[in-house]
Amino acid sequence: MAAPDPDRLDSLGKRLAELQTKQAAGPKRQPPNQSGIAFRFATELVASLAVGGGLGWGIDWLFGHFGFHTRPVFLIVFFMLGIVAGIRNVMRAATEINAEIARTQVSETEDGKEK
Amino acid sequence: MAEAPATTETTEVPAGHEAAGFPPFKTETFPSQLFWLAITFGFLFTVLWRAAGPKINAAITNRRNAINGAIAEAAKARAEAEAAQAGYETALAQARKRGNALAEETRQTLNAEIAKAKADADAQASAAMAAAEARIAGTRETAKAHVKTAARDAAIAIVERLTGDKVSAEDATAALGN
Amino acid sequence: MALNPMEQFTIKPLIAEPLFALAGHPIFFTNQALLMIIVVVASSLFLTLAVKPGRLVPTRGQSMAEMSYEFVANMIHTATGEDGLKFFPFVFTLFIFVLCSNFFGMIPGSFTVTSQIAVTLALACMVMLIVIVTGVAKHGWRFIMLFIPKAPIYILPLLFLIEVISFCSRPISLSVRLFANMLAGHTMLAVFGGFVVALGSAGGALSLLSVAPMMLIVGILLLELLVAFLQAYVFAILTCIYINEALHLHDHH
Repeated sequence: MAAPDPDRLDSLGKRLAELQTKQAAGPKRQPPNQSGIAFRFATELVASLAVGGGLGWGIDWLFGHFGFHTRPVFLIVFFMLGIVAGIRNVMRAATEINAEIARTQVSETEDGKEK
Repeated sequence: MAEAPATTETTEVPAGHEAAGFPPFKTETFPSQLFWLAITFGFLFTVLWRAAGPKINAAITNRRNAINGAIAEAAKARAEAEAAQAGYETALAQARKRGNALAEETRQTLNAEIAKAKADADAQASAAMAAAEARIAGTRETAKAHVKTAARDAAIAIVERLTGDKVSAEDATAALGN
Repeated sequence: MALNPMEQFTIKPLIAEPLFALAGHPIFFTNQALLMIIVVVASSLFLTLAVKPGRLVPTRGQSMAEMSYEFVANMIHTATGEDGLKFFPFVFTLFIFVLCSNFFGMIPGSFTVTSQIAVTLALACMVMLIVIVTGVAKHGWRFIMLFIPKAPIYILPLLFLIEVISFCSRPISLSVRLFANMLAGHTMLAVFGGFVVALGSAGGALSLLSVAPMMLIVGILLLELLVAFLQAYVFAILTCIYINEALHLHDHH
């Protein structure tokens, strides 16, 4: 009987353990990229402005239909609300993106620990 | 809708600043767009939901199971290899112990035999020496006795010659004893 | 090639006569309809035929199909948790449709389905409809709590209005983002393509100069590939985030 090589057995054991953890962990995630984040903020803001303005304009139109001439009032008020909603949306988007980045970083550090 | 290409080919529109000439905002195209979107999206949804999705899922699950099975098998084989190695090592240690014991035993029996042989040889030698000493002592006694007899006879003969007296052997012996 | 960069976004009927009328609107078979059909047929065939469940070592096609599947499945799982997985077929379809439309639109001479605001807005409205139906089906009248943050009572009406505007802005931002990205990218490609053609046909030393915009085009093309993927990803992940809100209201945060 030839003497078995304990080093080879050990390296096999290590590779096996790595495989098992990798299989349990699942695939990696990519962090979001910069230009995408910037554009996301821009559209969130603009969309809220547009919806706010549009809503205000629609309410003005509706009142005008019934003979109340409120024309710029609701437009302005809802435009302001739109600004606030847009800022709120941007803040929400920021927390979502932060959560996404945190998730990818957590999975990265977990990968690091396993090695 | 049919006249759209004619207008866009002749006029240079600077990046869609004119809403009227901006193709995506032409509302008369919207019904056709929405109709075909509904048809194609619905088709894709049905295919992915009923056919492609389950198929891909099955492929992924099969592979995951196969990989997990292979890993489990490899882990088992590794455990077996480790057990075999441990067995080999204990067998080796046992064999070594037995070998050592055997060597020790051999050494002891050999030592005992050597000691016995030595003791035998010693005994023989001392016996032979004792026998020799006894013989020597015996020879010396007889020689002594011979010397005494000869001396007595000589004394008797001398006395007879000188005096003519016959001296008895006992007298001669007594006289010589001094 | 079209010198007008907007030319590529024009919807042209391929059959001059309308096929039929739907609620008074004539329905044409257009270049966009053709591209949509090509996109869904190609992606359906690919995702169905490239995959064999028994094949343990995947071909390149199969691993691409599996990668897209797992990508979307992971996205839903991390964004909404276990109970969001029943929306998988919808989000997967959305992702594949947008992704393939974006990619097919990059082929010279073809048409970008997602460069039409009608298409992107319709997709976004479909997402919001599903969000509302899910929320109401799961929480009933309590779904309105989505618009009522924790705050002192006297500013609640104001906050309610802001939340409603914020909610209504979602389909707009979702659709405008995709539409604008595709429009801008393809316009840029067409403009620089026009430069190359113009300089190349000018002859002499000028045709040598066309190398510069050509290299720029390669760069933009690579960037556009990234944007095409990224926009499909953003559309799908935001769908997941909105579905998550409808499923769990605010109790996650």
